[in-house]
Amino acid sequence: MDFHYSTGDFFDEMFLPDGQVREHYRTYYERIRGLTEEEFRQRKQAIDSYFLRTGITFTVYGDSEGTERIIPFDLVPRIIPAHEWKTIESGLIQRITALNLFLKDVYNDQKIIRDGVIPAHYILSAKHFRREFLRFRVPKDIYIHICGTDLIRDEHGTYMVLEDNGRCPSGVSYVLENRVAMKRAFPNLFVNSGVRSIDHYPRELLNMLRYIAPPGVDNPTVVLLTPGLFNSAYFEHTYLARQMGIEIVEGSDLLVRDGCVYMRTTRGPQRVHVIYRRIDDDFLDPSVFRRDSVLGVTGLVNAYRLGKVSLANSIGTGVADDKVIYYFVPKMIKYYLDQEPILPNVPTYLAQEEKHRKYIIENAHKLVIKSANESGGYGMLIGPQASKAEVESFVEKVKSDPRNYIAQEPIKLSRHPTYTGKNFAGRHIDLRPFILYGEKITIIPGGLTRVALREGSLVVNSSQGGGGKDTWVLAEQHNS
Amino acid sequence: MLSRVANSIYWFARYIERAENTARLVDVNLQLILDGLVNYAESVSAHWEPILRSLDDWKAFSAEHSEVTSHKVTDFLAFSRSNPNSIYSSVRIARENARQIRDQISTEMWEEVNRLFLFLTKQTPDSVWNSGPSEFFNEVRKSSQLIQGLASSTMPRTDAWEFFEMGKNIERADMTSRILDVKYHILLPKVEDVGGALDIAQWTAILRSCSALNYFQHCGFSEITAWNVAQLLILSPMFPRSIRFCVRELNKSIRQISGSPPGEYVNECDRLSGRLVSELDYSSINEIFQHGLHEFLDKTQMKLNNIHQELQNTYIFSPQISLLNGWRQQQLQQQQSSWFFTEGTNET
Repeated sequence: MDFHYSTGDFFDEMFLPDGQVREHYRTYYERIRGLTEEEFRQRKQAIDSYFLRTGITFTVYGDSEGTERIIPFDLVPRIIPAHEWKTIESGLIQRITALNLFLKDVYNDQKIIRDGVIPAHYILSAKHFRREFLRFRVPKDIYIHICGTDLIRDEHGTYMVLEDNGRCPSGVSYVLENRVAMKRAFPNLFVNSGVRSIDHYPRELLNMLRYIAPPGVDNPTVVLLTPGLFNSAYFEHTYLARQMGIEIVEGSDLLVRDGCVYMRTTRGPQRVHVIYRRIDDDFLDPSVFRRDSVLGVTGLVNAYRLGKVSLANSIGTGVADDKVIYYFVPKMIKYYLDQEPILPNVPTYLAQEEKHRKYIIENAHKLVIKSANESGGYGMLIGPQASKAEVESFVEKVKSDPRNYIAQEPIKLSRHPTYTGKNFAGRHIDLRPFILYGEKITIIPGGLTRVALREGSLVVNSSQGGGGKDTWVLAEQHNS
Repeated sequence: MLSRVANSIYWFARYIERAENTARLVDVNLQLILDGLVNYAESVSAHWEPILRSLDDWKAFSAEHSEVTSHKVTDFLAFSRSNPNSIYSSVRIARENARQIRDQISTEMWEEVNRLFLFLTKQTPDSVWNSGPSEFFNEVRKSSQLIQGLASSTMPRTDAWEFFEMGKNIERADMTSRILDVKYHILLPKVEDVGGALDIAQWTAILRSCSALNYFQHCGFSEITAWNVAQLLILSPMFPRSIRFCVRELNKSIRQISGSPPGEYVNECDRLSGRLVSELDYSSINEIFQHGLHEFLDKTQMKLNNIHQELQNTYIFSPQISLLNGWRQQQLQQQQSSWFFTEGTNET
């Protein structure tokens, strides 16, 4: 089959502008080019039915039949050479280190505010800043244990950070399952290909969770707290719990007695030491946060404060997810580590700053404007693609609530050959690596590559026609 | 193990068993009708009504349908979304439970129940009806047997296994009693028809619904009579679908978990199941018929239900969540920071 298409103005992951295949894709390309269209279609079908059969699906809500859909999977893997990965890895380690120092600082001494690096009002007005936890020292001083950082590449191929997800990042189960599917469909591709393995992720995750157990507990009981069956990430919750061999619990399975957390078992209450929670702060404990929460556990926050149970991630990390705070991450890196950021931010403007705001209002049709605390492609305006009326109404929103809006220069996301069902075409992609912060910082080589399957689309959400790819990081000796 | 997990395993096993028995019952009776023994509209209706009655589904059925035809009954028992005991609904509930305990059951078990569910979603009543329903029921039965076989060959013999066994055996005992009870509700046209061709065909159908015909013949009963069939399906200590056999297995699992030896008990659950075993062990078929077969079966179903209640009280009980809607809504709202998972967050 013929992969070639015009790379246009974009950075193409596989092809140079003159149509030559990039060095690190050559082995793959040589092995795959001989396949016929029919063979490709068959493998695509085999993978889709594998996902459906094993239940690797997400639930479509608002449908009484409870329709479950698979996340579209693209057969062409994204390949990252060793030297690029090295940069990404050190950039991510630098970033998570700074973010954790930042969280420790804002919940304790607030030096970064006193030294004038970040204005106090930005932090105090952050939606997910938990003043209840001021002066509370979290176990081992780690706030964000699991982080999913979204990376994109611009038209020159420069990796940039689009956002950090320091609350409950999800998607790692698809990283692992995409690899399994890929191995089933193309077993021969992996022979001597130098693709680094990723299947140790659940073990690393469990090690990290055990590491943060309360002091004096040698053999901690770790559980995963899920919102339940109706949550769209439920598959991932059961998947991770199964891989780690820990119990998956719902709020109603837990109870707090004398400051300790227990789970209800058929043989009575059993003590729990570490909770990998996939529930937002707001819902954790109805006696502290949202009173109407039926997913949480009454008394859990108190047990946490007493040090009888550890949580991953810690409470209050959402302040770092705020897109206004994102603007300050390069400054944090400089401030705490005295280093230059290895991975740059996308050029960003804060609507709250007068100069920036003026620029944003004048150039709204050229910029991407985002709400500070929304995700999933919601609450944003892509200026160049929006109508005049849309731009105007969004500008009004920005004017009325400047604290909660930022703007970014639009980035021409890199493209990757993607199977369209008929042929191959360039589609925009991003990358979400998963970072674990325990005794040491671990990043499994690769991450979730998401692809905007619709032609020209920049949005890689599945709700807006996005899918996933297997991501290969090559070992050193396979660089060329 | 978590009480909630125990509960899910228990219901998973129960609903799979229920789907299988419903499939058997409908299949055998459809064949009976096709064999021409029941061949005019009136008797078709008279044939299905007792079956629906014994399943406690008659009310729900007549609320939806004004006339009783084989086609409509098949729809109702196999495909109805509104009937919570239909094969479709049973498998759907079994799968929902399995989804919640994927970390506790083997991949093979999950894949099979998932496959069965996906298979059912693809069937329409008309397509099944046109291509011959036996194939369809056979598929359901085989899948259930495969799941039970996989459970037996892949589940470690921990409490999870015992809860699976309990669900399976309590449901099987209950269903056998219902299948047998069908015959009580069927009115023979005339008294002298007892022992006639139709009577024998009906008893044979009941044996076949329980896969008991081969064993029945093997046991050397001289003829197919109510006494003999009931003897086998209620009191046989050897036949794995007899009520006595299932209750004994149920009792074994219950005691495996509580640890109390035969003849003793530490909770109501032990006591009730122990007592039912003794009753069945020391009952005779003549005694049962003296008091009335239907009354006996009815009481047995109540006793099984009491054991079920005590099981829940002893091992499962957790406070009911009343805010069901709010509960579901909040699950959806959880921020999972992924562009993948944004679908439906706008649901009202």
